[in-house]
Amino acid sequence: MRLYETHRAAAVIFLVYIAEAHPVDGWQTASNEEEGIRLRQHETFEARCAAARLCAARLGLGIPTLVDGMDDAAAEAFSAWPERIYIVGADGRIAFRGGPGPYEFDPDEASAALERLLMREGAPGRYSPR
Amino acid sequence: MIDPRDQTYIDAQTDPDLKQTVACALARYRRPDRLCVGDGVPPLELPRLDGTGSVRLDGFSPARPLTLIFGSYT
Repeated sequence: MRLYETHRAAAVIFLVYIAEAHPVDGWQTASNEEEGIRLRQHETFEARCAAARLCAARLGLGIPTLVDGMDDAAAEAFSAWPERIYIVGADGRIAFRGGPGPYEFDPDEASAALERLLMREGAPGRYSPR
Repeated sequence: MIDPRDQTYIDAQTDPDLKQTVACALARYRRPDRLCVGDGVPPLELPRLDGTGSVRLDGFSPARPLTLIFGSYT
Protein backbone atom coordinates (compact mmCIF):
# COMPACT_ATOMS: atom_id res chain seq x y z
CA MET A 1 0.00 0.00 0.00
CA ARG A 2 1.40 3.37 -1.05
CA LEU A 3 0.40 5.04 2.21
CA TYR A 4 2.67 2.68 4.10
CA GLU A 5 5.57 2.82 1.67
CA THR A 6 5.51 6.61 1.57
CA HIS A 7 5.27 7.33 5.28
CA ARG A 8 6.71 4.32 7.10
CA ALA A 9 9.83 6.26 8.15
CA ALA A 10 8.00 9.26 9.54
CA ALA A 11 4.98 7.60 11.10
CA VAL A 12 4.08 4.46 12.97
CA ILE A 13 1.70 2.58 10.70
CA PHE A 14 -0.27 -0.51 11.59
CA LEU A 15 -2.83 -2.58 9.78
CA VAL A 16 -5.43 -3.62 12.33
CA TYR A 17 -7.03 -6.87 11.25
CA ILE A 18 -10.68 -6.92 12.26
CA ALA A 19 -13.74 -9.08 11.60
CA GLU A 20 -14.34 -10.05 7.99
CA ALA A 21 -16.54 -7.73 5.97
CA HIS A 22 -17.88 -10.35 3.60
CA PRO A 23 -17.42 -13.86 4.94
CA VAL A 24 -18.87 -16.80 3.04
CA ASP A 25 -21.12 -17.57 5.99
CA GLY A 26 -22.39 -13.99 5.92
CA TRP A 27 -22.66 -11.48 3.11
CA GLN A 28 -20.38 -12.99 0.50
CA THR A 29 -19.86 -10.82 -2.56
CA ALA A 30 -19.73 -11.84 -6.20
CA SER A 31 -16.35 -10.14 -6.62
CA ASN A 32 -14.83 -12.12 -3.76
CA GLU A 33 -16.32 -15.31 -5.18
CA GLU A 34 -14.79 -14.58 -8.58
CA GLU A 35 -11.40 -13.97 -7.00
CA GLY A 36 -11.55 -17.11 -4.91
CA ILE A 37 -11.72 -15.19 -1.63
CA ARG A 38 -13.76 -17.43 0.61
CA LEU A 39 -13.26 -16.90 4.32
CA ARG A 40 -15.65 -17.77 7.10
CA GLN A 41 -16.16 -15.28 9.90
CA HIS A 42 -13.56 -15.98 12.58
CA GLU A 43 -14.78 -17.92 15.57
CA THR A 44 -11.43 -17.94 17.33
CA PHE A 45 -8.50 -15.56 17.66
CA GLU A 46 -6.30 -18.15 15.95
CA ALA A 47 -8.65 -18.15 12.95
CA ARG A 48 -8.49 -14.36 12.82
CA CYS A 49 -4.69 -14.49 12.84
CA ALA A 50 -4.72 -17.13 10.09
CA ALA A 51 -6.96 -14.89 7.96
CA ALA A 52 -4.61 -11.96 8.55
CA ARG A 53 -1.61 -14.03 7.46
CA LEU A 54 -3.45 -15.23 4.36
CA CYS A 55 -4.41 -11.66 3.50
CA ALA A 56 -0.85 -10.41 3.90
CA ALA A 57 0.56 -13.26 1.82
CA ARG A 58 -1.92 -13.06 -1.04
CA LEU A 59 -1.84 -9.26 -1.27
CA GLY A 60 1.89 -9.00 -0.68
CA LEU A 61 1.40 -6.66 2.27
CA GLY A 62 4.41 -5.87 4.41
CA ILE A 63 2.57 -3.68 6.87
CA PRO A 64 3.06 -4.46 10.57
CA THR A 65 -0.21 -5.93 11.70
CA LEU A 66 -2.16 -5.88 14.94
CA VAL A 67 -5.11 -8.18 15.51
CA ASP A 68 -8.38 -7.11 17.06
CA GLY A 69 -9.68 -9.37 19.80
CA MET A 70 -12.73 -11.55 19.44
CA ASP A 71 -14.70 -8.93 21.35
CA ASP A 72 -14.04 -6.61 18.37
CA ALA A 73 -13.06 -3.94 20.89
CA ALA A 74 -10.90 -1.94 18.48
CA ALA A 75 -13.37 -2.10 15.61
CA GLU A 76 -16.14 -1.00 17.95
CA ALA A 77 -14.17 1.78 19.65
CA PHE A 78 -13.10 3.26 16.33
CA SER A 79 -16.35 2.46 14.46
CA ALA A 80 -13.94 0.90 12.02
CA TRP A 81 -15.80 -2.05 10.53
CA PRO A 82 -15.62 -2.90 7.67
CA GLU A 83 -12.57 -0.71 6.93
CA ARG A 84 -11.34 2.69 7.97
CA ILE A 85 -8.21 4.81 8.51
CA TYR A 86 -7.34 6.95 11.53
CA ILE A 87 -4.31 9.12 12.20
CA VAL A 88 -3.24 10.08 15.71
CA GLY A 89 -1.09 13.16 16.18
CA ALA A 90 1.89 13.69 18.45
CA ASP A 91 -0.47 15.01 21.10
CA GLY A 92 -2.09 11.59 21.30
CA ARG A 93 -5.34 12.84 19.85
CA ILE A 94 -7.09 11.85 16.68
CA ALA A 95 -5.95 14.15 13.90
CA PHE A 96 -7.72 12.45 11.00
CA ARG A 97 -10.72 10.18 10.74
CA GLY A 98 -11.29 8.69 7.34
CA GLY A 99 -14.70 7.69 6.12
CA PRO A 100 -16.01 4.15 6.46
CA GLY A 101 -15.17 1.77 3.67
CA PRO A 102 -15.57 0.62 1.13
CA TYR A 103 -17.21 3.71 -0.34
CA GLU A 104 -15.35 6.30 1.71
CA PHE A 105 -12.13 4.38 2.33
CA ASP A 106 -9.50 6.64 0.80
CA PRO A 107 -5.81 5.94 1.49
CA ASP A 108 -4.77 8.87 -0.70
CA GLU A 109 -6.84 11.25 1.43
CA ALA A 110 -5.26 9.77 4.56
CA SER A 111 -1.80 10.08 3.05
CA ALA A 112 -2.39 13.77 2.32
CA ALA A 113 -3.66 14.30 5.86
CA LEU A 114 -0.59 12.61 7.28
CA GLU A 115 1.67 14.82 5.18
CA ARG A 116 -0.11 17.90 6.48
CA LEU A 117 0.22 16.66 10.03
CA LEU A 118 3.94 16.02 9.64
CA MET A 119 4.44 19.48 8.20
CA ARG A 120 2.45 21.06 11.03
CA GLU A 121 4.03 19.13 13.86
CA GLY A 122 7.60 19.52 12.70
CA ALA A 123 10.17 18.20 10.32
CA PRO A 124 10.01 14.46 9.73
CA GLY A 125 13.44 14.16 11.28
CA ARG A 126 11.91 15.10 14.60
CA TYR A 127 10.25 11.75 14.78
CA SER A 128 12.30 8.77 15.71
CA PRO A 129 11.29 5.17 16.21
CA ARG A 130 10.91 3.96 19.74
CA MET B 1 -27.36 -0.85 -10.10
CA ILE B 2 -28.71 -0.51 -6.58
CA ASP B 3 -26.34 0.93 -4.00
CA PRO B 4 -25.93 -1.72 -1.28
CA ARG B 5 -26.29 1.04 1.31
CA ASP B 6 -29.86 1.71 0.21
CA GLN B 7 -32.86 0.10 1.85
CA THR B 8 -33.96 -0.96 -1.63
CA TYR B 9 -30.92 -3.25 -1.76
CA ILE B 10 -32.03 -4.99 1.42
CA ASP B 11 -35.60 -5.21 0.17
CA ALA B 12 -34.40 -6.78 -3.08
CA GLN B 13 -32.83 -9.76 -1.30
CA THR B 14 -34.99 -12.83 -1.81
CA ASP B 15 -33.17 -15.16 0.57
CA PRO B 16 -34.51 -14.39 4.08
CA ASP B 17 -31.25 -15.32 5.80
CA LEU B 18 -29.17 -13.16 3.48
CA LYS B 19 -31.67 -10.34 3.82
CA GLN B 20 -31.26 -10.44 7.59
CA THR B 21 -27.47 -10.63 7.30
CA VAL B 22 -27.32 -7.65 4.96
CA ALA B 23 -29.67 -5.65 7.16
CA CYS B 24 -27.53 -6.32 10.23
CA ALA B 25 -24.34 -5.43 8.35
CA LEU B 26 -25.75 -2.15 7.10
CA ALA B 27 -27.11 -1.31 10.55
CA ARG B 28 -23.60 -1.76 11.93
CA TYR B 29 -22.18 0.30 9.09
CA ARG B 30 -24.57 3.16 9.80
CA ARG B 31 -23.98 3.42 13.55
CA PRO B 32 -22.83 6.85 14.69
CA ASP B 33 -19.09 7.33 15.08
CA ARG B 34 -17.78 6.98 18.60
CA LEU B 35 -14.62 9.02 18.05
CA CYS B 36 -14.12 12.47 16.60
CA VAL B 37 -11.08 14.45 15.55
CA GLY B 38 -9.55 15.83 18.74
CA ASP B 39 -10.53 12.88 20.90
CA GLY B 40 -7.94 10.84 22.74
CA VAL B 41 -7.16 7.33 21.59
CA PRO B 42 -8.95 4.56 23.51
CA PRO B 43 -6.58 2.71 25.84
CA LEU B 44 -6.60 -0.52 23.87
CA GLU B 45 -3.81 -3.04 23.74
CA LEU B 46 -3.65 -5.26 20.66
CA PRO B 47 -1.36 -8.21 19.95
CA ARG B 48 1.00 -8.15 17.02
CA LEU B 49 0.33 -10.73 14.34
CA ASP B 50 3.97 -11.78 14.30
CA GLY B 51 3.77 -12.79 17.94
CA THR B 52 6.31 -10.25 19.19
CA GLY B 53 4.13 -8.84 21.91
CA SER B 54 1.39 -6.27 21.92
CA VAL B 55 0.94 -2.56 21.32
CA ARG B 56 -0.92 0.00 23.38
CA LEU B 57 -2.65 2.30 20.93
CA ASP B 58 -2.46 5.21 23.35
CA GLY B 59 1.23 4.66 23.98
CA PHE B 60 2.85 6.18 20.93
CA SER B 61 2.67 9.93 21.38
CA PRO B 62 4.63 12.07 21.20
CA ALA B 63 7.30 10.13 19.30
CA ARG B 64 5.63 9.76 15.88
CA PRO B 65 2.15 10.08 14.45
CA LEU B 66 0.25 6.83 14.53
CA THR B 67 -1.72 5.62 11.52
CA LEU B 68 -4.20 2.79 11.91
CA ILE B 69 -5.59 1.05 8.84
CA PHE B 70 -8.50 -1.14 9.87
CA GLY B 71 -9.72 -3.86 7.55
CA SER B 72 -9.95 -7.49 6.58
CA TYR B 73 -9.25 -9.63 3.53
CA THR B 74 -12.86 -9.81 2.44
